[in-house]
Amino acid sequence: MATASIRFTESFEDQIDDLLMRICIELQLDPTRRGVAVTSYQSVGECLESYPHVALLRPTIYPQGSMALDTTVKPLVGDEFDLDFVCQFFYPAHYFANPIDALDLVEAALRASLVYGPMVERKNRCIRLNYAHKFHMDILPACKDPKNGGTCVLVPDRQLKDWTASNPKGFTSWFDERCRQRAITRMMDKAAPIPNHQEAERKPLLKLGVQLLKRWRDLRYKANPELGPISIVLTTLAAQHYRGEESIALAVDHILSGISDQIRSSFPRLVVLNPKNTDEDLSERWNTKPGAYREFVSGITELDTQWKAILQARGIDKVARSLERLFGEEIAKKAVEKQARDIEAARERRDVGMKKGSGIITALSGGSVVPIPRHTFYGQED
Amino acid sequence: MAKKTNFFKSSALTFGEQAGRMSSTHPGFRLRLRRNSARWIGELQPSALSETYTVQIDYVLRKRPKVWVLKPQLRGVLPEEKIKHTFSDGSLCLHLHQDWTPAMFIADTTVAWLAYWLLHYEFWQATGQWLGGGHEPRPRK
Repeated sequence: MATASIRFTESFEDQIDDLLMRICIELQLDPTRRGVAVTSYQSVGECLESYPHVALLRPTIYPQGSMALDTTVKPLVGDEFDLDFVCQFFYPAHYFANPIDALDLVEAALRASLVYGPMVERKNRCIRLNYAHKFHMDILPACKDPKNGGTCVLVPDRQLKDWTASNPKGFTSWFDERCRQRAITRMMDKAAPIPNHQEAERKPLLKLGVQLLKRWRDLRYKANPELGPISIVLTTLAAQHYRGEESIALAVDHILSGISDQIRSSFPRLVVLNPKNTDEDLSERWNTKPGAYREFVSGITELDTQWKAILQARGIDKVARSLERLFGEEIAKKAVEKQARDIEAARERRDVGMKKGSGIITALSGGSVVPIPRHTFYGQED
Repeated sequence: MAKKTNFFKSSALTFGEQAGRMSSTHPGFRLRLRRNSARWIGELQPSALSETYTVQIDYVLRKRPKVWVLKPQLRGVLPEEKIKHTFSDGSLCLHLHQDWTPAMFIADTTVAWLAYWLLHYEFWQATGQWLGGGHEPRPRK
């Protein structure tokens, strides 16, 4: 195991970031579930491509949403994990006489399969495959959008009986650009159909911030998930307000202040458009669910206050309790425990000292840090 | 006991030497010197995320220094719980008897151990586990 330096104890941002990073590592999708996701995606793609009527339309299948953005978070125990894929046809939308035909075609292709047939469920804009073990896959048919051009697409909407605008590919590239605002860019594997599983440590800070916000959302709206903000809305807002901060704690702080300001200046509600296709209102569900918007406003306002209080708090135990409330007791406790164990491991390696004057325990470096001589804490006088 | 013999045999640093080292390492600590004893009171913050603690170190020449946390008040993780690695009078148990001799600078030993104790006191408060090493005594019968 690599011997990490414990110099993070010298700065508040570094030390809290160390905890947040450890929380993000715990939030990563486990390799088993990720493996299932990748294999399922490939096999469903093959199934669609082998259906003659679909094959004629020369489809390309690609992930969208958190899998494409690499911002998936482990679902809470008992919650479903979902994956979104686009099945984009080569031809423009007017190839289909009726938008619903595009949904029906994908449905027919999947129903024709012995494996997928029994798993099919119709949804408004996609066909859902319900897998065992709390996992589902949404396949969204799409056609080129000649009016908006580029990577813009049109997606059939069953309720509207019409096409609606979208641009999942454009959104992914926009998000990746927002991630690269940092002075030091990080290595990313863009060629893979699904970004390679990045260890949290190598992830751009914006992605970590989005993961934390999503985890907070999962917990905050656990009793009423339909009232919580959807991932794409949180992701867009986070990316819009991220200014390349090099600390997760400060990035989240800036994002929350930005969203709160935007809420205050938006009437009747905040509108979140796809930055790469302004015809797509990502927050459209707030039109029909004003209660969900009110819940979003109170949730974000509360989180903004709590976050600012954490940045002012002193006492590892106090900070830990706040993180437990926001991200879950088990995950936050584990993060604190790992930080403590790393510090103790450094002491056992005799790589720990005390900063003169302040008493801060940190890695040995130069004359301002006094080494901690060997000792053993004991229990009581014998 | 051999350990005790070593303890008394070692040449002790004078109050002046201890005080000099303390004021150069921890200039914020205030010293009150009496004929047979020295008392330092000062502040320590064991990590950037930690609270700042007001601590007191009492030293009678050649005796093991006694260390107290004055502020904030220490508490158990659970109500009524004994605080880990403390003596029954509430002072901190930072080391085994043989770890310290009067030939050692308090500024480099006791204060460093104290800062490390404070850090793990906070981790203990947060996790319910003492992760800073050390021994638990056998319960008295």
